[in-house]
Amino acid sequence: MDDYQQIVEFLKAIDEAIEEAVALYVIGGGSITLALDHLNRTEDIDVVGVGQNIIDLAGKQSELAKKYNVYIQKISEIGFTAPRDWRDRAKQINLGLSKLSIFCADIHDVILGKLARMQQKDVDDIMSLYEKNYLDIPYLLQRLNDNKKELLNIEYRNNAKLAFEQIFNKKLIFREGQAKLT
Amino acid sequence: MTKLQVIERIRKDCEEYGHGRKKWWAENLGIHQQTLSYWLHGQRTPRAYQVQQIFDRFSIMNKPEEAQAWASLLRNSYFNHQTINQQILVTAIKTILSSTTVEVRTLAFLSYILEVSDIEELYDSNSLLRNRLGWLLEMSGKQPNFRPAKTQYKPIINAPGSFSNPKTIAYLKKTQTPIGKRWHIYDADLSQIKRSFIGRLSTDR
Repeated sequence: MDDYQQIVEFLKAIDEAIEEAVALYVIGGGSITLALDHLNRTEDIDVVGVGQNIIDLAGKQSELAKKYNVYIQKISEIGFTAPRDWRDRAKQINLGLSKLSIFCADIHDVILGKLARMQQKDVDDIMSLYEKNYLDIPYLLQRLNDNKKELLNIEYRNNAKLAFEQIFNKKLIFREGQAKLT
Repeated sequence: MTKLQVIERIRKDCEEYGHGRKKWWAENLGIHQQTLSYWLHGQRTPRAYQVQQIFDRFSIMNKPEEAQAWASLLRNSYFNHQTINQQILVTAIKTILSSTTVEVRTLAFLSYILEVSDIEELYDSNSLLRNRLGWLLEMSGKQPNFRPAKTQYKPIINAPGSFSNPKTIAYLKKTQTPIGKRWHIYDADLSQIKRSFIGRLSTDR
């Protein structure tokens, strides 16, 4: 059983256990595995603004987590550094669930979230997505410019430069608060 | 492996990978591209230490598909709460670490399962792979019974950009851990990823 199948089984178990309809907005590696690359590996499923009832049921200390070796990790809204309208662009994934609705953040918004930390696992993810041709670089640039608040942060800008220059081979400059390719 | 056999392997490798591979080899061996061309055309031959260096380099050049297959096997065993044979785990670790670079999640996973296993010793005669094994043992809280071999610094993680680019080197130096430095490896911290694992992959003997 691979990571994708394991996550699907885990989500099905949550679906069976809950009584009311719940929408989960998945970001990070979980979003990549569910929406795009089923071979992608992830240990936790990052969900923005998830309720405590879901954490009790499927969080790191839960019985479901012990059974499936996967768990739901709660992320705050401000912890995901993507443009404000990221939920509008999230894609609903049909897994045949009855009460649980799964929305995966757009992959370009996931990358914008990764630029805030740019740890080695984020570099691995970005390189893998780029090598597999999942990225639309002009669209990523557009979304980067939509991410106005983060563009004020010098570390974020430096990480964006690193990704564009070193991984996408595109020289990125910042002028008048806008990111541009030269 | 003789000088001629080593050169023949480089020639085949360059043919397989195509454009840019000669540059890659020159960068990895710390030689000029022209020197490599002289070797390939039989005008000069590598010195003994260079033959050893090339031979060592081939020890960490497994196809990524092979590493992925082993990583998947371990991952499936982990998800299915299966017990894995200790010798199979050792083979998996050595094969995965024989890839040119390895994803950091896979490295963290290997370190996590090694930490909870009874395996105390890992060894290989090739210095580059041996350094990687020593590094993994230490990252997993175990004490290797051999010392780091003096080799060029090689990345085990995927570097963003070409290894000849100063920005790439700067990135690798920034992410390198003290354990990586001791074992002549450009690595990254695994502790945060390791904390996210919750299951246990048990081994038998």
